[in-house]
Amino acid sequence: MDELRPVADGLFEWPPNGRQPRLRGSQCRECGEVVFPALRDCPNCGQPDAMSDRWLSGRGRLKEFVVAQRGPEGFAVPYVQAFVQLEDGPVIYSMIGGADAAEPKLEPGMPLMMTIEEIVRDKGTAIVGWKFRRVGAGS
Amino acid sequence: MTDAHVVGVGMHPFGRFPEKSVPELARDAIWGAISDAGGTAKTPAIAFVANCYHGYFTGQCDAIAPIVIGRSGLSGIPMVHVEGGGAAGSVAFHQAVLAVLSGEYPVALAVGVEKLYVPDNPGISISAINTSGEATVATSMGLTWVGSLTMSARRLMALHGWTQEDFALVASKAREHAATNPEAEIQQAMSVEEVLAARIVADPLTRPMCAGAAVDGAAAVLVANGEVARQTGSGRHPRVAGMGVVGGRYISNRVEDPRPGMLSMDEAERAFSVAYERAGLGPADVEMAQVHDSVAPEELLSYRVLGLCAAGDEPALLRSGATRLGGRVPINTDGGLIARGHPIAASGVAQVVETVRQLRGELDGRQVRDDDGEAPRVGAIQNAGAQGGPSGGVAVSAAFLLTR
Repeated sequence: MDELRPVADGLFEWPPNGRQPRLRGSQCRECGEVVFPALRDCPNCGQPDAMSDRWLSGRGRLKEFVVAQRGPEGFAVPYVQAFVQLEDGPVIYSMIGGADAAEPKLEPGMPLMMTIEEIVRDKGTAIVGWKFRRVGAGS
Repeated sequence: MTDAHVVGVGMHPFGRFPEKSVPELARDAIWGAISDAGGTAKTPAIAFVANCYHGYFTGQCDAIAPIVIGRSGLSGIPMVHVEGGGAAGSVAFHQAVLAVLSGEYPVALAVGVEKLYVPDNPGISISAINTSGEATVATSMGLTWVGSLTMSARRLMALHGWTQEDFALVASKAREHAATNPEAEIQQAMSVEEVLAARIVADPLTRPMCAGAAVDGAAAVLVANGEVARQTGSGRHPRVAGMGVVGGRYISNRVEDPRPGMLSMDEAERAFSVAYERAGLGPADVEMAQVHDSVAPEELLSYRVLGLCAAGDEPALLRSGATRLGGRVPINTDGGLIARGHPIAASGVAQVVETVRQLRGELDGRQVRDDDGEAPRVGAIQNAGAQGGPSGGVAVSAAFLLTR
């Protein structure tokens, strides 16, 4: 079996047994701002040491997308790049999984669900991160 | 308080030069600027070197300034390396102007140099440029600059009714301007129809609507105080009449983000309001401008940022021909990023070079002139770059106003 490596440490929980993965964000105790990735100091109100850990659900809506015909080294083109508005607030970048690049059938505002899967291959290692998929589109 | 004037400009042409190193590209621009100035400006008292990816390609992450400046034969002066993605050249120019305005340095050199072309490996140029955005979260998962810019463009199309044809007209105009510029990366004109028929990079942007990643080049300017400027050459040199350099703001994700998105204009209006105020000038005074069009939609957005028209009226201004050579306020007379070329850290300095040459009235084929045959009196420069941290905004958004 190939070696698996997360795209970075501490970004997401990758639970076994098919449970929903979560993103590790944080929330400001002063102003309530929710951010991802987790921070120690609040970028919204400027309060230092104000952030507490907060798990973010993998539910969100498509904000905008584009079919990329060129990518960084190692990325198989074409693929769909997107910004996703998380139900918990932050807007994050994600690839869209399970979309046909020739006919992606995506609309801004449509509900999406996060999965954790291989993003790109670095020699023998599968780099693992999140993707979002259409709700009900299967895997 | 003294004034800051640009007394010398130099370029290494933009294009593909696999046989040349970063210092070799830079020395042509540096000595071009010094010989252009002549006289007392021969010796800069401080040098700022903008470069973003020499470390990525060679492992030489530090000491870039002494290598570039020292190998050009200059010594004994402070040599400072700056970065900042597409704005790195503007950071160097800003620092050079501040150094002169401080009174500490009578002459300051700003040079931008970049080497991105690697034969047979276009992906590595994109990977290098991706390091001008924070790597861990998005770019290592496949987000590209052109992708995020295109997503912003798609939002603006929905908001303002911009069309792919508008972007094609920007690109065709840039190509037409660059065809008059022997230092441009791409010197072949292209019709609107040809731009539309070209390969899609990220729908709706085709290849000629986007600055290419694999390009090398260098640009340099000498900035001097009023006293030195008066003793140099003709004694008359374009003055930095106003500048505004600002950074991206964090906007709470609990409110709708009013910014256009990742198109690098988010903070540019703030930068220009500062620059106009300092210069005592307004949008009606601007007779030509160099703007940061890493993709064609950014040029459209810049029209509103500079105050040349209201939001939504950009395509009408473009179609009127006002921003073309021969129009009221020609934009990107050298071809801009998408045709002159965008060797990242060199671009901001090249914008100053073109503006200075236009204000001097010395160009062939693309000289801007008013109805009386006069060269422009006021030129504007807009530039932005680098992005990271929770704000998602640009590190530096720069506005400069040059007058003669």
